[in-house]
Amino acid sequence: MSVTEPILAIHDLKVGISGKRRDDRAIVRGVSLEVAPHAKLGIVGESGSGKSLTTLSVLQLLPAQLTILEGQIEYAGEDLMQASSERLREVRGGEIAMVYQDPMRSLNPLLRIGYQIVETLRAHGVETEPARRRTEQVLRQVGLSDTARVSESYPHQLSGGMLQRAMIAMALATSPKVLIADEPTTALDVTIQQQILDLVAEIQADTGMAVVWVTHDLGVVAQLVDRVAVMYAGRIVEQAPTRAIFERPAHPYTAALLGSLPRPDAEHRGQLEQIGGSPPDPLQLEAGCPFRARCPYAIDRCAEEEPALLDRGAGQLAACWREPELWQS
Amino acid sequence: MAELILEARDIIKTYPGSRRGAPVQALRGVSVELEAGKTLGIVGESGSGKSTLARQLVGLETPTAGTITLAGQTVTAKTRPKPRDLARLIQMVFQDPFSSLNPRLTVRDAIGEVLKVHGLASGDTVRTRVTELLSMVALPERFAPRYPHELSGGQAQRVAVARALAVEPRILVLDEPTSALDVSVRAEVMNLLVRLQDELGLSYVFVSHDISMVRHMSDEIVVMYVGRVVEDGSYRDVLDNPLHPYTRALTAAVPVPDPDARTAADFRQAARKEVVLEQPPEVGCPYQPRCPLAIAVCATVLPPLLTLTPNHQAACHVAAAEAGVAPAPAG
Repeated sequence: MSVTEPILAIHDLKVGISGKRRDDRAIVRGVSLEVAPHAKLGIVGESGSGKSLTTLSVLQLLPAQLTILEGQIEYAGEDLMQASSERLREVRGGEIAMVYQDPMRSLNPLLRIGYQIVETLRAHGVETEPARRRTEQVLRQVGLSDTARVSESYPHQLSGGMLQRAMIAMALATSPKVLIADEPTTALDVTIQQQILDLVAEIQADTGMAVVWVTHDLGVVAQLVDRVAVMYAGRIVEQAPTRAIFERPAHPYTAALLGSLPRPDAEHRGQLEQIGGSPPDPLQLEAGCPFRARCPYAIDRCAEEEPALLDRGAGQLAACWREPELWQS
Repeated sequence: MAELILEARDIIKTYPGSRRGAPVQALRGVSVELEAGKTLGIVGESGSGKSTLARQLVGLETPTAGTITLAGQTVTAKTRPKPRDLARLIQMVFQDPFSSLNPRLTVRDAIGEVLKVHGLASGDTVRTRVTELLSMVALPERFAPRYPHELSGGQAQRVAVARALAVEPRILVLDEPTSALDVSVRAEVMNLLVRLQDELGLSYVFVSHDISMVRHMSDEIVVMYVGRVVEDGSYRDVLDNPLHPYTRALTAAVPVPDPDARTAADFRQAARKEVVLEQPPEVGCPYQPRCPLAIAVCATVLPPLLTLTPNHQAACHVAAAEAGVAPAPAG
């Protein structure tokens, strides 16, 4: 156990289609993560890697056809899997808040912004008047200083960046202990994205709220989080402090992702490192390491046995049979 | 001097407003040029007009005013070549290959259709030519009978490129060609585009909000802001030594995949300014409300696009003064 107790801990989470006649089919295949208070964790992965399903499982918000097949989810020592639906409603949007890529998924298009934030607070036991004051306060905190106008607006009357801020204001209104953000800046322009990243970092420094940031953008990871989990085909293939991920990736997939980015100092129009192939269908995985078909370092063993996520020292974990010196040179 | 394959002069595009709303000016006098065999990168935030410009260039829409010259052929609001002739010259590749490919046509039919419409192949030659085009984008023939849903994102985008190449165009307009793809396959599509350009001598217009990709690919870059070009020059000049404060904010906001780069630059502060206006001011510089360098004149006079250093233009009063370029005469 680490020095600080984690505020949120996921143990061996498996998510998938629960089989009535057939066996269960898992898409998230055994994910364990911990976030301490004040910590910023990044989850990186491509579409289909299971990163969004992992975060949706925390508050049991999975799409109807998917269920948690196995695993525990602990919030401040409390087992959320055993929590009553009443308790879960309290935690959702109260102690643990979520923001999504599309603000329209969280905001009701027919209700004014201010009303929606006040209602969220009231649902969590705040009286109307204090809720109004708090709404004004959080709107100002996210940089929407014309609070009266924003409060009176319907979602369609605000620009994309303003909407994303309003959604973050709503998430922050209840002073959550954990903020889970699923690609909240992916659809935004870089200038607006920068504002949101700085805003979250600022609020996080003030309140000590833990942040889980899901993204496919390694640039965002480098700028925002302390620790990174890289997901591939439903599992974490590498987990390490941010600096280690960039300086000495311990998994060939992480190394390949880093190599494929056009860097400012790279040769203009030069060859980018290709990974080749495409991510596997999570429901049709074969035995062995799911990355092996695209991996230049694959050996026979990789086809036989899926590597476990093992400690490589200095807080770095990787799931690979080969030695990282192969691609770190 | 190399051949100017594409030249757009003072393009204005106005869309009618909704019901009683005022008309929307998406392009407010844009001029760009592209040398044969080179790549012109267009960057800007959403609403800057970069995709609108792409649609005018490729002939999907006709500009309200201004002239586009493509390999000597002139397109204006009044005169334009036959759409089919235009299509032989310039083709477009869109962001999402799954919405630009017909889901009910196989790869072979999707590409074959183009060849037949343009009378470039018939009968048996269609099959041969489709195979040839697929091999150009590094897809084996076994992909020909597949439907789009049987392809991965990277494969589908390569089919879209093959389809665009079927008419042997001289110019490709690439509108966010990698943005909808998984990170791990973006490099593959970029490498393919570079190789095709070298092999076929194609000229590219590369529209993207991904500045690192634009930088990687482009020779010249134009930066657009609310329907105007605010900076124009070589990729090095524009991105390494930006003159316009908007370009500086834009380049500073790109998250660099390097934890050591976590330093707050001055212009990151600028990007954080609270003002998020939906409507830029009608008078003066449209960037002025967000600009950390704004001076009195910026609120009243629209800065013209001036050459401030050789082959490097910017539309900014402050940058012009710093470069020692005389400000435009008033009015």
